[in-house]
Amino acid sequence: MSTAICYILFLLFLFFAFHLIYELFGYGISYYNLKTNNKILFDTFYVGNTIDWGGTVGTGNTYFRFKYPFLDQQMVTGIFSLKMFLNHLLQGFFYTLFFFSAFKIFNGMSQKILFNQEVIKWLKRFSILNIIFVPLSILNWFYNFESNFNLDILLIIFIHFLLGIMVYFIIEFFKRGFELQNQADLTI
Amino acid sequence: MKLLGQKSVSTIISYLFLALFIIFLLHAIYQSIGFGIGYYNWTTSHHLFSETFYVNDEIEYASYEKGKYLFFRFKYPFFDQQMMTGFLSLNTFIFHTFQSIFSCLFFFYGHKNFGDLSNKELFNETIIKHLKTFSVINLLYAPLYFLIWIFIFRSGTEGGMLMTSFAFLFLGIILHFIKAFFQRGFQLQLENNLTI
Repeated sequence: MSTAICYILFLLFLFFAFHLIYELFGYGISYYNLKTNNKILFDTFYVGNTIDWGGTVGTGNTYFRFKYPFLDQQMVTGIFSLKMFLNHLLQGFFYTLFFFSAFKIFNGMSQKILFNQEVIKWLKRFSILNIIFVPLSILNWFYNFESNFNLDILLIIFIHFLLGIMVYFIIEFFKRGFELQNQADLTI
Repeated sequence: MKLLGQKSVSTIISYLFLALFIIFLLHAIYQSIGFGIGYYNWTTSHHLFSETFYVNDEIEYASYEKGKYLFFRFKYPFFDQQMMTGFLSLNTFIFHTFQSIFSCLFFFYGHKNFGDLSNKELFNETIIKHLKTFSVINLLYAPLYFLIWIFIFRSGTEGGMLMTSFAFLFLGIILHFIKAFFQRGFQLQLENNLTI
């Protein structure tokens, strides 16, 4: 069971890591294109003053649209600004690290001995990651969007916070289990 | 302050959950009495506690056509403070009952679980049993909620509702894993006790 989840989490990690790297690459190239008036890979990483969103044309801002490599499928689009970039960066980094540490935890739990130090180490990182996400996403919301809270975002933040706290408890369970395991190994 | 064991964070959380459980239980009981009395008054034209448990086909805040819908408004006992209001129908009753039963069970088992964490010996059979029940309650919430929403209200799903159901489902899965950890820990504990 843990092994299956471990693979799924690894796939999710790869998915998010690919998006993060590709997006960073896209931002880099389009920023360069915008500043120097070059048109490198312009079809894939479009950046310009107008954009066509399914019939409605957006004007008055700098817009971007990144497509998947070799496909005509849109990956991400929006207003090209530092705030938007920071928002995407935070989300991308967080979910990449989130799935990576979750993968590491489940990988550790698939071992023969459940209570081991590897799991405790990654659980700790996972817990800290979730708790740090709370202030970061609140800051992100206030500074990058400057709009009111909506309930869904509050709920997501709250879920991550709760998850962080729960994992903190799980760490304690694992520590206790690890102690028992050590005692058992010593007596054998 | 320590996280587990006697007089720890777990003990505080356990009492907090107990307090919440009592609040939700009182609401659930009061609400059921309200629905009962309201329904009785409406069908028999009696006016038992009709100030507190108001039921009629018109209500101040809504300008629906008179006689088309049945409304209710329950107030807290001895106060003028409104507790809940809405359309009085079997659907509303089922939905509110489901919500209150779930909240009561949730807080009760939350209280039990954290109470078990305050025990001197962490890995024991009682906590495994309680974790199992708590996990099942959380896992059942999402499907039941959807069934009620789709079959009784016959309306589409909303973002907030999806998120809450997902959160409880997720919690149920995590609890299921925690239960497995405790089973492993309990085994180790037994082995250790035998060798000593």
